[in-house]
Amino acid sequence: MPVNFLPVKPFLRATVRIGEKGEAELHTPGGVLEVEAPEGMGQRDFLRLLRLLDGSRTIGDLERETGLDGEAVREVVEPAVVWGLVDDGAVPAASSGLAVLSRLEDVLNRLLEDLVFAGPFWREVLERPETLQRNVFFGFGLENWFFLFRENEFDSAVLALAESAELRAMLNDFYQEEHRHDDIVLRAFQPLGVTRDDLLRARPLPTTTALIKTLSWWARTDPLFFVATIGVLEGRLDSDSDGPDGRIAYDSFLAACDRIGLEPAFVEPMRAHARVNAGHDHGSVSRELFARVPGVDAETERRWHDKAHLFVEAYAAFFNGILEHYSDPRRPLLRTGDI
Amino acid sequence: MSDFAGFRRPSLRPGVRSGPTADGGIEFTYLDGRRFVEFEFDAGRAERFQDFVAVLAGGGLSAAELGAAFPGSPQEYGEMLAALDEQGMIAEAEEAAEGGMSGVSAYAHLRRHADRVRAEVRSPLVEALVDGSVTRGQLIGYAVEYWHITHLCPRALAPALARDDLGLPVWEKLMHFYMTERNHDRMMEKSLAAVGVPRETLLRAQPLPATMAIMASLGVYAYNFPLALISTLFPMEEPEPEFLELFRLRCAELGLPEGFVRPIVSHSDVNEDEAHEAVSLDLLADFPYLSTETVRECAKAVADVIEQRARLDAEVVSWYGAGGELRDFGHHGYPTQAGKALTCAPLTSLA
Repeated sequence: MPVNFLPVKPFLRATVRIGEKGEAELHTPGGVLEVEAPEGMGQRDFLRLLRLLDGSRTIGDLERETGLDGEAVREVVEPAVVWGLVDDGAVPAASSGLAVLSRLEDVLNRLLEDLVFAGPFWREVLERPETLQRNVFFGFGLENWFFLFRENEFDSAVLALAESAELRAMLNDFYQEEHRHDDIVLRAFQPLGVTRDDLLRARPLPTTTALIKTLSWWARTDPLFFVATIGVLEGRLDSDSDGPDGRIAYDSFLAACDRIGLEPAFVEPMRAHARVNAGHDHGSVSRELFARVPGVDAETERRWHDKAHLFVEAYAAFFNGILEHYSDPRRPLLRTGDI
Repeated sequence: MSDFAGFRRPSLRPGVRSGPTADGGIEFTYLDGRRFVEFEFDAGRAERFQDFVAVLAGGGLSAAELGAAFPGSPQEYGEMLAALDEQGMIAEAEEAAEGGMSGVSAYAHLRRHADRVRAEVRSPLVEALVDGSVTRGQLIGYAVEYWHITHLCPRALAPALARDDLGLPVWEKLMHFYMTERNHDRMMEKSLAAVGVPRETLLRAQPLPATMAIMASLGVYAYNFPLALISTLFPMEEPEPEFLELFRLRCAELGLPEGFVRPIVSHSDVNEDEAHEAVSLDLLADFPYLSTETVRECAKAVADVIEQRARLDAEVVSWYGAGGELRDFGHHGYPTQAGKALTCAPLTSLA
């Protein structure tokens, strides 16, 4: 691999002094280094060049001001960069974590409106819940259980987040708070005659698996992007505030259940889970975490905006897959194999 | 208001529109009117609220200043911002990242840090090479451990290739590096074959604990902290010409064949030719920002690898110098005496 990195404006991270015998010395916090001019370069030119490496001059500027040719300048600068004595003196380029999350929220908000709330599942649940097969409501509970049952797969993947001790501790708290949430929802299935053992034999819809695995992959390969999705998954818009046409967000599922008079034995455990999440303010998890992210560079932010589309597509498919499958009352509630 | 606990300058989200309503209130719309909220005010307060909305939209005030500028009670302030936020209309206006440095500065920082750490550790193997006390078994043992490093290297690097948060140029460079590191164990196998240690035997052998610790560290960084992997490449890959010179000399003195020495020197030359020590810099130069804590954690990783390498040198001397042979425990049982020399002797203090 060739060494192709050369700072645009080299900055010497050491003080140049002249030793007792006229030798050039670089004084760093770690000690003093004696350095020699490359072959063919005079000591005066060498010292002058070193002193001009103040982060304000390009290689071209250095050539002009020292009268040395570019090759000679590079012969001094290149090894000094590899030794860690010269850097680019650049101001790090990044935005605050919350500013980046805010812009990502804007992308997510629009996509949620376009793909999730305008999608068939939520339109039906919000606008015409009484026309839906009851299995759709039960299916929502079941697919949510599958999601909660496998939540450890993605939440656990960020428990060892290396870059920030504070974020790591918060993610561990979040993991603990989420642990066994599947058991809270489990009680909802008693009136359906569905036991935990039945669920362990069953498999989720492919749209549910797609969401789980996609999140698990991001948690492993792009952990901060995964962290940014938690606010959506845990329902930031989980209050009972009404929009102009009466549409509301996630807990409108419970409102729809109430509206059609679905069995409390099914609805109440679902409500208990929603209440636990609201109590932990889980809708704010992404923000609380990103408030501790010191900075994010522009290229990373751009990638996250791109991925946000894929995330909301998977999220919308999770909901719409429920409507598609459970609308047919001939299909059994659980898809189980023979093993 | 826990939603805003971390906001430094809460502001109205760009793209949210506000305007007066017929009855003197203010309405806010967002996402082509699909998100909507309206506030009514007592007649005498409408103007002051309009002024506040302009301030909120400007995003110029800190969270505390904004609260103080609100023309109503703290409870009303909380309710108004919560109502706006429920519709996704609040954003953070503070753009500045905290501290941190560019990847090039981080490299310079790590490199200087490495020099300071190196000055604090000593290598019993180098000392044995210098004073001539090194044995034939220790020199072969060094080559065996070197083989383990090259053999485990692809597995240690590979997890980083699964990461999706490094950017394409970095990924491509890591892939290239991975490709160049593949099959380096074959070079070491030539060396060991010359002293009667075939590949099949090596494949049954366990590395020394420090060899394992180094490769496990790199592998775990690759999974979980690729920047630390990138940072530790330079202390792993730096050429050591003085070491090699002494190594050659002692091998010749102890009658080790040229076929043993040559591949080791060649491997070092390959690393030098491919400028493997500059890989860290080349990769870090692609990162425009690293947080202070990230660089600090990378510096710990660099220091640790340097210390582990010193431990490895000590372990080579103690294990292979105390009668420990190739670590094929399945076939040869465990030489307890060498194990005691390895684990119970005061290796910890290398300073």
